[in-house]
Amino acid sequence: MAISKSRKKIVKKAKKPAKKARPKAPAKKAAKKSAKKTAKKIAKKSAAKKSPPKKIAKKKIMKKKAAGALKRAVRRTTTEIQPALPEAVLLHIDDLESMVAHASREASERVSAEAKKFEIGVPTNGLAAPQGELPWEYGKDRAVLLVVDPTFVFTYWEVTNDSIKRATESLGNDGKLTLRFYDVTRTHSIEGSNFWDVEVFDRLGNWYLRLLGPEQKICLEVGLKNSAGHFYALARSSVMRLPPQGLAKPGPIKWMVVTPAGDKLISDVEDYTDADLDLLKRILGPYFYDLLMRGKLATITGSSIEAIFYEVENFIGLQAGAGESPGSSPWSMA
Amino acid sequence: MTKGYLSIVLHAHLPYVRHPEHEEFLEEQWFFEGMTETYIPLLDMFESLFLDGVDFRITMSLTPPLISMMTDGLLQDRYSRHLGKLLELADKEMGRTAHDWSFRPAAEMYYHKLHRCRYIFEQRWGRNLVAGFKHFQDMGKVEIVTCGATHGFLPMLRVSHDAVRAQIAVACDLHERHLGRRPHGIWLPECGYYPGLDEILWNNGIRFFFVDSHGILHADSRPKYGVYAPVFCPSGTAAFSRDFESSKQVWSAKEGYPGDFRYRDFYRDIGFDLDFNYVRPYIHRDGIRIMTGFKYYRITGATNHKEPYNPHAAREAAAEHAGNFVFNRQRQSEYLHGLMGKPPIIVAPYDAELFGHWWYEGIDWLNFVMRKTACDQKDVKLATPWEYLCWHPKNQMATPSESSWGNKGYAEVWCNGTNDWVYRHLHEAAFRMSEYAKLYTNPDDNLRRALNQMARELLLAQSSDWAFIMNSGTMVEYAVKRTKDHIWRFNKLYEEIKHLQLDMNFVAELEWKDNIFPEIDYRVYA
Repeated sequence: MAISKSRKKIVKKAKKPAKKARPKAPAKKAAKKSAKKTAKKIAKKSAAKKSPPKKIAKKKIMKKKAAGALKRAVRRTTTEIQPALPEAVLLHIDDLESMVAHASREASERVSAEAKKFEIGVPTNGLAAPQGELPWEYGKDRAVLLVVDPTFVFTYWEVTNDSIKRATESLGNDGKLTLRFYDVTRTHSIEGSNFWDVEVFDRLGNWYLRLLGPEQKICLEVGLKNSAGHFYALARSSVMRLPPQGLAKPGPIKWMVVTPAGDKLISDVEDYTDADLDLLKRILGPYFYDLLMRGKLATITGSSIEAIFYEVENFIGLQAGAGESPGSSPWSMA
Repeated sequence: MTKGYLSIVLHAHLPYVRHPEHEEFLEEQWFFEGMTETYIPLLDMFESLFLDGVDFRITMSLTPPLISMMTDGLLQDRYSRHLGKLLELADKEMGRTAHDWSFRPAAEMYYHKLHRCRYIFEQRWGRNLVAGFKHFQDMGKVEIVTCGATHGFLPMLRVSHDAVRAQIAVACDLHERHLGRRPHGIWLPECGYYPGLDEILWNNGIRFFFVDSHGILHADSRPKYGVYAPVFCPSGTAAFSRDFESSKQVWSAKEGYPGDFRYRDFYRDIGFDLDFNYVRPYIHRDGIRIMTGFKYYRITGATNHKEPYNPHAAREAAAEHAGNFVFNRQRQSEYLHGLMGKPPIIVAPYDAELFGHWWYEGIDWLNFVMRKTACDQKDVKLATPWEYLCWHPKNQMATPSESSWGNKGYAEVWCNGTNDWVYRHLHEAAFRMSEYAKLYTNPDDNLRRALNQMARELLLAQSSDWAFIMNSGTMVEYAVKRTKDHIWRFNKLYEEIKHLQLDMNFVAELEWKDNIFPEIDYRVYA
């Protein structure tokens, strides 16, 4: 019970008025122990999770867990998917390692400003246990894909024993539960599209999958596959399109008028020229333009509030007061 | 001559936390702190700007959970009681620091601010702050936009189209009920957008929303003016983009506004620092030390040694930083106007609670920014997005890319190993809700009440705050419990209806506990 331990420590410490009582400091030891235990427990678990992580005392554990879960998911994905992957989704160990390292670093560095509005000085007791546990299963065949970022998707599935029995009757007894991912970027339907299979063991489960490029359209089916390669689909997800990671290809610029009353009119269309690209470059300035062209903009701007708060916290003590505009501002170089 | 528009956007939101079953509840403190440190000071600021004849403009989201809490009688009573205790503590602090000139100025500041706070809450707005915000909305000074009904992160809910539609429709209805008109705009929860969402917004009468910078820069058509002009989605809804420069200007380490040594330190609080018996009546009833809001030290530097807080010096710093901010917006507008040949709109969105709560002097800073922009120069004009669209109805057409303003710009904060387990249950509950909404078109009164309560439980479970908290690692147990409780209650009602065993005592208990959206109609899921 890491939380109650840490609470006791906080109360004890708080009784010493001379000491500065920072609410976060005391639970570190408990957190470390608990993190080790949690890591061991999770290592034993299969990909399917039926309940959320519990008894987590402090941010660091959550961050370790988050990074750990990501790492594990990626490793599973690497080891089990790689043989069946088409060229478009080949994973490289180096990429994975660097991604995991990046994720761990991000996780350990992340200090959320928004989370501060939830800080009232002590961990919560959460009161009593929840009224009831959540259902282990819903008794339906379901496959769902969710976009996490331009190269990362989360999927979960459930198939019933009855459905597995039905599939077995059709395929024979050597059918194995399989996730089949379709790349429907060009085909717009699963017919004739590239696919790759991942064998799974649990009829309920979830998975993180890293893909090579953004803007792919993918779809998932869960079903049984026999040794002859025949696949019996039990559930299919909707098609998800991964978001783009950079500037769109040049194309016509359309202008639209929408009046305050809500009337809409496409007024005119013009070609996109080099002058337009130059204008965008000058508007953004070379720093942000370069990030945009390298597909790195989202990692800067999207995280700015949280990341910048972290910077601010670390910055305290090094420098204070309004300084000059950062060199990245285009107008400061104008 | 106006060379650019500045649109400051405050996103005011807290999750719905109201526990009538307990006399005192720790997490209700979030709301109390927000009231004392952010929402009431903001209203006070609006009033002072108006009385001084400052032609200010600001855009603010008031999320449905926040509106519901601000207008809830029980929470109003509890806040009044909380404020009474703070005033009692302020009195004591005046005595304690009577001969201590290091801390006396801060003690006096708290004393006067809290009395002002009580006046604004009790007398000026009769305990209903939403009426105060509506007052300034009706004057045309504040553009109030809505948000998802319970701040559900919509890209993760889109598996059920009905669930997304309900988040928007329920929010717009509640907004209209409390603010007297349909919202022109919306702050999408966590700025979470995906292509196609704009159609749902348009169908609900919403004309604009906000995305993070990469949402526009990665749009399906190259944005001619970058993030400094909105784009119209094919549906007709406009998307405004966050300006990363003004975000950096405020929060960047290089600028360091909130990190200035003169500003108040967030962590040092007498709830932890003073003798236990002295603070005992003002901390948690179980004796757990919590923050009281009385903080006497300034940031000072990267050291554990902290100097006493000087309110006058801090206010001076806020004025300096506001001057710096406005000066930079002038230069930015000049530069962009020269390139674009028309005034850019600089959209600067922030979490409202960071002003006052985290950055204590943030409200002063905003106040100075409003005054300096409105009165001290003519290059930059304060404007709301709706005003901009009325003045500039012709804009580029493009569909923004899927994006959010969370860490790394997409959905990772709300979908990772700490919180991904919730989606299986949230999606199934949404499917079940749609199933019943289509099935029961003409229910009797009891069934209608149960179905409406199912809709409330589903919406409360969908709040992105729970996944956010699970990810951040602070107050995790509460977030897990809330998610499980709402889904469990939803499923229990589902099963009871399915087996024709509806327990109306249970329904009544839930109506009493989870009383958000009293006018909800479950058929929004049909």
